[in-house]
Amino acid sequence: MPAQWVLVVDDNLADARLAQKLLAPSGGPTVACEHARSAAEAYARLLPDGEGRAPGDPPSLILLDLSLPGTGGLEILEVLRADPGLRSLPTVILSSSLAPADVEAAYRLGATAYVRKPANLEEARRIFRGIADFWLGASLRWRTA
Amino acid sequence: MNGSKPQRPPMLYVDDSASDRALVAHLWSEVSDAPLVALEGGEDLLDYVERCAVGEEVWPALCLLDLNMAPMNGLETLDAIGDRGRSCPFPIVVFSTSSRPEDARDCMTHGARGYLVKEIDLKGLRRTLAACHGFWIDLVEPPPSNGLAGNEGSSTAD
Repeated sequence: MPAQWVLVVDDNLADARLAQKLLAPSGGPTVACEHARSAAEAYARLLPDGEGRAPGDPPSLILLDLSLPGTGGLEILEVLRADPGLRSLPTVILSSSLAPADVEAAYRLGATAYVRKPANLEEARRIFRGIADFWLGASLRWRTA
Repeated sequence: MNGSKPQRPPMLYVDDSASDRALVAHLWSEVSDAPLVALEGGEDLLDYVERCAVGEEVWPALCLLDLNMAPMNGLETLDAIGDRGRSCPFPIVVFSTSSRPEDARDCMTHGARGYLVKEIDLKGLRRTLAACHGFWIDLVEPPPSNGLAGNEGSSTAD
């Protein structure tokens, strides 16, 4: 069975590094993360290329920021949900916006869950532990293949 | 910021086994301060959803749904909720003794937000329920339209 990995889509390098450092289920090792800074980088890792070649094993989980330069997180979510292989892939929005319009739109477009981005290190430990314990610990590894 | 939520919406547990309902209710009370509502089957869940839709019940923060139930199994229940014409306003995670990846895939394509294997041992079961609390109850923002959001008026940031 392929190793578990998480795709962190965030243009903020410090935020992505924090996720990579803290994404570990209780009592377990950290989980491999890949970082995409833009829609193009995320699509390259997730969608078949122009010749129809698959990009490799999908991640166990996508953490998706909403505010990105160019194509935003909501547009990325819409593209992923239109792909039959990615329609059900757990995709958690991690955003500092709690504007009701953003939360509503994310769920309408098929977000698995919406979580507020941590504002400090203490919150980050709690939030990434909570994400890892459910999605990388308790949850059965689920594959689209 | 947890204190900003005005009330704790319940966790629903849907299972046709009375002993499993009792066990999960007991363990849930050890790991979560959110109330648990235990339901006996898919029909009861559909009734509960109808009552939420008319404001007689509070939308749940999470529903754990058993897969192998009679007469309406977990997949049929997911389909029935999906047939209501809009996406389900609360997360349903399937909770089953089956560890077959095909079952997990089926449930996800029928609208489940996640799939958990029901652990046999108490320690594993408690750990699974604690993970449900730690993510779905403690961290997740509900959709504003279901009336659970506790952070109305927050400005867009990022």
